[in-house]
Amino acid sequence: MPAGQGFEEFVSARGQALQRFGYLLTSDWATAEDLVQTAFSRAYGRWSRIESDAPEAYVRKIMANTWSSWWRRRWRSEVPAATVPDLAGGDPYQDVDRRHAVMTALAGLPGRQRLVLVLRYHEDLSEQQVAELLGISVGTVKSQAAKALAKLRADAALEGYRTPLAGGA
Amino acid sequence: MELKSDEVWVRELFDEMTLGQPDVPPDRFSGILRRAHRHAVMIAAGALAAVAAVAALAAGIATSATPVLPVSGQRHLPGWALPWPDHRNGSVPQRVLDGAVIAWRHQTGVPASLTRPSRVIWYVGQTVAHDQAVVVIFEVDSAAGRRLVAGSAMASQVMHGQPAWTDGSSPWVLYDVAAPRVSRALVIGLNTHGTTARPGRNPDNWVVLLTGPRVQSVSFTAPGPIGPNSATDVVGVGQLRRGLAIADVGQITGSVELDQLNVGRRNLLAQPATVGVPGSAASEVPQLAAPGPIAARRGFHWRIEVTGQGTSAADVGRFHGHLAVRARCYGPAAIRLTFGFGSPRHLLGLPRSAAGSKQTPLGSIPCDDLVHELATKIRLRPGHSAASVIIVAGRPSAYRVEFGAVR
Repeated sequence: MPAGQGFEEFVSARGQALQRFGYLLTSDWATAEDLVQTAFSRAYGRWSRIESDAPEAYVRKIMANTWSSWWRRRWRSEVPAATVPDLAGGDPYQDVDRRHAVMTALAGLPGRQRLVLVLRYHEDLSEQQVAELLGISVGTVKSQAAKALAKLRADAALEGYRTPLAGGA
Repeated sequence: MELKSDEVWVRELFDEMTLGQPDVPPDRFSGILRRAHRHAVMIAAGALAAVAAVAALAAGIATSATPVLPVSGQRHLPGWALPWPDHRNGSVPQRVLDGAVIAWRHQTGVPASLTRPSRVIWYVGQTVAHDQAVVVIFEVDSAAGRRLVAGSAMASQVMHGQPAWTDGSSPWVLYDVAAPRVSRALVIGLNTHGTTARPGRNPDNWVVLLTGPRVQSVSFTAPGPIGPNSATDVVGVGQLRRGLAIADVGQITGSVELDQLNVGRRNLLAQPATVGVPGSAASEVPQLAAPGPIAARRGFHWRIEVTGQGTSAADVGRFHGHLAVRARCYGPAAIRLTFGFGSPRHLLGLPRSAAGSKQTPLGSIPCDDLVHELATKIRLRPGHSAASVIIVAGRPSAYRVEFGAVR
């Protein structure tokens, strides 16, 4: 077997946190779970090699790469023939305007900027760690994060949701 | 400390966003093990398929018939349904097939109360093209009528728990017609394609043919790749298993024509028929794979990528700077690009006379499968109203277009 009890413990311990990371990339819990399972299944076959060397960083990297490929492949040219919002009983998330506004703003960011933002400010990775994970320079990480923050700051939909912060804008 | 405030603000937003995290799925670990196993099997199958493809090419064979394992033999069908077998072979989970029904309900544009089917009768639901595509053929009885639905999706877009319909779009391409009456020469055809190809080629096209269980073989022709001096036709013969044939028709540039539908030595076709869903002209156009990726170039900063076939539009309203286009396409005719202010839906809906005065031509891209670049004079600024680029393309031309800015 390529992986044993250590792998199962790792999945159990870190699965929730990695699913949150996936959710901030995909905006959907089910897709996030799919992303997490995809990454874990890839890591499973190489567990003996990665177990002793930062397996979480490895899984996170697989998630980032997998999500990037999904994001690039996404069909963007389709124009629906009709709008059919026929969800029975209403969408449970419909009333959560704030979340919707943030997710819409995140979805409007270029893929790499979103990735950098989530890795930097949700996963709390350093600029150096983000650069290594994405295979880009630290300077690019800084510029992508700054651009992403600027876009969120300028997003009119988020205007009303800005938390007043001491010493902040 | 403006920047720090932004950072703290974003951290708080992220924390808040993830507050409603659902419980861990009870079968997460077993799901991971299943995927790992499937991944290993797919790698092995991919290697075998590559060997098989090379062998087939060496023998000059352009077609293949995939054996199917019928799930059920006898089944009770209502009188209006086609009295044909169920060819689902277990290669596609039922939840994925149910997703196709959900996508159909949304795409019809008829209220759910009318389209929610009281009964779904399945004929085909399986992977094709080396498991890279999923095809479905089913009939439904709903308050909106009795319908035949046939279509396909890329396996990578539907087999991993993705939603069948989200934000107004779906990975499923479905054709919906009134349920046909059965006749001797009735054939339901689908055009689909794989996603991988040998270097220098585009993925092969495949056809799925469903007809009566007595039919034993079909023959077909299709226009092949256009060479430097002439075009060559693809000619093939497919064997049917209980009325189903799945054939690799290779590289084509037009519709596939059925010449013969044979029971023994008797051809049931009075005249050639185009492969498609009867009554749906759109389904007769081959679904071509998107051209290969466009290599990055220094100085070009891409923002959005569009892949497709036929005329479509891309929203470039969020762009800043000089709009630039890099594109690659293949097919019988060039694609044209025009720019206009307005949403994609608005611009695509304009009558031709109005479209000409409100849109700026950006240029043409020859469909020679090479990467071409268009530098435009369009400069977009923040705060602009909606802006879009229309890609005008004939149906058998497949394209990949990147929009970005040149600095």
